Amino acid sequence: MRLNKTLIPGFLREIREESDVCISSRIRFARNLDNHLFLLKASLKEQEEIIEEIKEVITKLNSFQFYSDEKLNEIFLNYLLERHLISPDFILSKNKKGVFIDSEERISIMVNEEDHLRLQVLGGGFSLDEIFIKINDIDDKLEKELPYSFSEKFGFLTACPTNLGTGMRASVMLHLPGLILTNEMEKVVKAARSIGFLIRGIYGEGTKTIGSYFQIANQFTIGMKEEEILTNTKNLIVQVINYERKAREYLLKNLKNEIEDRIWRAYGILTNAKLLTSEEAINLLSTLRLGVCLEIIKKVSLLTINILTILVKRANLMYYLKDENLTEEERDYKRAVLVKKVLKGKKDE
Amino acid sequence: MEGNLCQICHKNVAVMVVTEIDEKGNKIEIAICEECAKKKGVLESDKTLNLEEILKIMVKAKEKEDKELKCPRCFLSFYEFKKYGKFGCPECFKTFEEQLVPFIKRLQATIREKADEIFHKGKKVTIGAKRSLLLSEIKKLRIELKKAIEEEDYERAAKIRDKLKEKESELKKDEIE
Repeated sequence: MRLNKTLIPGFLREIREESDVCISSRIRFARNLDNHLFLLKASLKEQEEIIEEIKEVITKLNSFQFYSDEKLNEIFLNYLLERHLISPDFILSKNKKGVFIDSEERISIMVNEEDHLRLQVLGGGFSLDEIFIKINDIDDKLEKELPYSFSEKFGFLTACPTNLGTGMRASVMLHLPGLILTNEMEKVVKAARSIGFLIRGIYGEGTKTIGSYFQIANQFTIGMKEEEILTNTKNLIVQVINYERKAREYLLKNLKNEIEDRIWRAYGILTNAKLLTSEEAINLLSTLRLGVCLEIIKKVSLLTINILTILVKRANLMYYLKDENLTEEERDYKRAVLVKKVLKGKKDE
Repeated sequence: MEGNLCQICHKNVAVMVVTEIDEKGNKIEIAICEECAKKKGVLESDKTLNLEEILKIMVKAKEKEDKELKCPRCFLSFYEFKKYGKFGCPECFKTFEEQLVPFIKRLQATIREKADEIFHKGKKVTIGAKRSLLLSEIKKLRIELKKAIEEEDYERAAKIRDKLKEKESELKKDEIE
């Protein structure tokens, strides 16, 4: 079975040179409006006014789809989270909120998450430079129309002091099975932390890691130019990518049978299981991804893995199957059927 | 107020707790140093040295101070800011500016050496919030004015025109500044 690549967000469709390790890149800017109280103090009525003011400006700028509170039910929110278009905090927030998403699913603008505005641009592979230009451009356009809260000393004023200054967080999603299998991950985490970077789970701050996927992001936002944050992040990521590649080389050289066994077992389960939970599927697809990168598995593409890794997630599976009422057991069964069909089919693209 | 310094001179370490009557006639306990105690004529034997008690009073006094420091726009106190870790509005940054600097240093400059690195160096706004708001108000007034004229409601149009002039001169003043 062939899968249409438009099933997943634009940024996950791009396979680039570093895609063997670097899945995607993301930059976000936190911004607030000077004429309104921040969300800790803004009443529900004021929160609605904030949405209206922002909506008026954004709808003029670009072709975004706007999803307001009424459209954001639990499954749809999780669907967006699984696609990395919103944050876990956005789901939890009791504010009047909304999100703008472009048709390609590369840009999302959350309104009334922790700040009035959270702009984020996503890119495939290691593409921080490109998406920085893009987010800066959107930010400049919005600044011409919206009264951004800004001070010479503290920069862009944000609800939380951890975002002050640039309000910028640059992060990349890395696949690091080699560092996990060689027990080197802890070293990387420590080293990154010592130079001001955070290593987090797949949906960012406070979320768990699964399938050897990690997000690395800058911790500090003030006292540096945006470009410096970008350069520092890029420098670290290049090193981590090289470190991961070396770990994979080591595994292939010294533990070939063990690694191949692990990969083929993952393939075996994925192509034969009758029931698959979302977590198990993601973990096995992660191992399969390693197999594809090491050219042990040749009939599956990285793009297929990217598509499946999104589609096996709970809410996305239900959306794909167009049935929001599936029980957990039904989902586990249908998930296994889908994975089997795709992996046993021909190479797509 | 710093650590365990005397609440009178703010220089020496506090060693004892004394009871005082404040302006309102309430009894309050304060922690003071030996020197200030002597000046006040309080004898050491009045209260024994009790580090725990001194610290407790210090914390309470700091809490009171933090609760009294309030943002005039959103009424968030510095105490609440520390509790929630969040600001209530743009004005908070002016209200808490003095307290914020060491706070940001702790939070954002743990691995940096230079003290000035805790201030903003990144991109700046080009228009500024005040002008941005004025511009959008002017835009809205112009649309309203056009509508009033079309509807031949000249009384309303005159009122809008006055308001428009007011906003436009405000904008000019802002540009000169």
